[in-house]
Amino acid sequence: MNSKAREAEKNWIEAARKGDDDAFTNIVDAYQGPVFNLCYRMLDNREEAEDAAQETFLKAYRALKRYDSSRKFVNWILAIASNHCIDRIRRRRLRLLSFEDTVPVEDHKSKQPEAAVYESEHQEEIQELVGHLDQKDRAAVILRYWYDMSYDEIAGSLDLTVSAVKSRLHRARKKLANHWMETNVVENISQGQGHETFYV
Amino acid sequence: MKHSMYENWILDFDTLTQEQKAELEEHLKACQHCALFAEAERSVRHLLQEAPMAAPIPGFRARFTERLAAKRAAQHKRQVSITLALSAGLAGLLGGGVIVSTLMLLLSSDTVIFRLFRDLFHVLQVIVITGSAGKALLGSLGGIVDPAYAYTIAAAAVVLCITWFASLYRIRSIQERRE
Repeated sequence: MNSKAREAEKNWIEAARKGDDDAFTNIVDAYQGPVFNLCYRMLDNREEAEDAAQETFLKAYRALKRYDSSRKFVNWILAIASNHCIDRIRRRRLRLLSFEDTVPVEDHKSKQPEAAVYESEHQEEIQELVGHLDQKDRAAVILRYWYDMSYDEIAGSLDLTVSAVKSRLHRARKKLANHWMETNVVENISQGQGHETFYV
Repeated sequence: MKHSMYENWILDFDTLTQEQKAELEEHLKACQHCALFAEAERSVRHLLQEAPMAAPIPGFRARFTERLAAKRAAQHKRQVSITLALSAGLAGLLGGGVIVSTLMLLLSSDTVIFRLFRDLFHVLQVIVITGSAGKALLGSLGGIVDPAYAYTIAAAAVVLCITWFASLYRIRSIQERRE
């Protein structure tokens, strides 16, 4: 972010704190992409991601007076989004345990055209991969790889210590690599491609 | 056991010493499992680093504005309901106070019912004062405290007040009986 954009962001925040809704919608415009992406990667469902992103901005709107301006605004809002998504996943699991409801399943056929365009096989592969991680590990991986956050920043966002973040990322990467390895071994064996050369 | 150690080295490659890196390279040449793990780790890292940003469907800002307006309307409705409920409650208490004081004036001061009404009147006075203070507090906290929490706190405070005054009344009755 250049100094001009940073200055504009600072002005929007100040104005929004004083009750200027237009200033806050400028913030929504500027950060809808990163917030939506985080929610989508966490929840793996476009409709739920849209709802979670909207709720994130509402929470930010209500908490704006408590925002510490020494912190990067993007990190602050992504922290709200991460924690909101973590709570949603927990609630989703509770619903599953109570057998009252089921997790919304993506209906790929009924998706909007925009969604269909970018949800290629590649996207599904990524979602399938990160879907194997528990919610906090998933958040840590997303903040690290999509947003290039440092260990300190991730720790601040997820309310963890730096060593806990390192340990979670290490565990998550190991799990992802093992899953990748297993999937590819199974695929190659099922296709009869020299399975004897792969470790199982 | 050894696989696990080398897997950890693969994941923390940047933090290894030159000797460890050389040992790992040698091991990868000999161990197919670890070589596959290294390849898998590279693929996953590449996949994540190259992953595009997902974008919301157009009109996100307009949908947010609508949602904000709807939330505000709901909050306003709640605040009006709280104010109405508190006003009705206070009016009821004041009305009750007026009735009790009228009865006190009509009854003789040495009857049991007079003393009961007198004590009840004192209790009501304290409740009214507490209610007014509570209302002022809620008004000043409006927007900071969630209305659901405010209701719970107010209800708990009322229950505590009633319990407290009931205890005081009992203690006083016992003392009077002793006297």
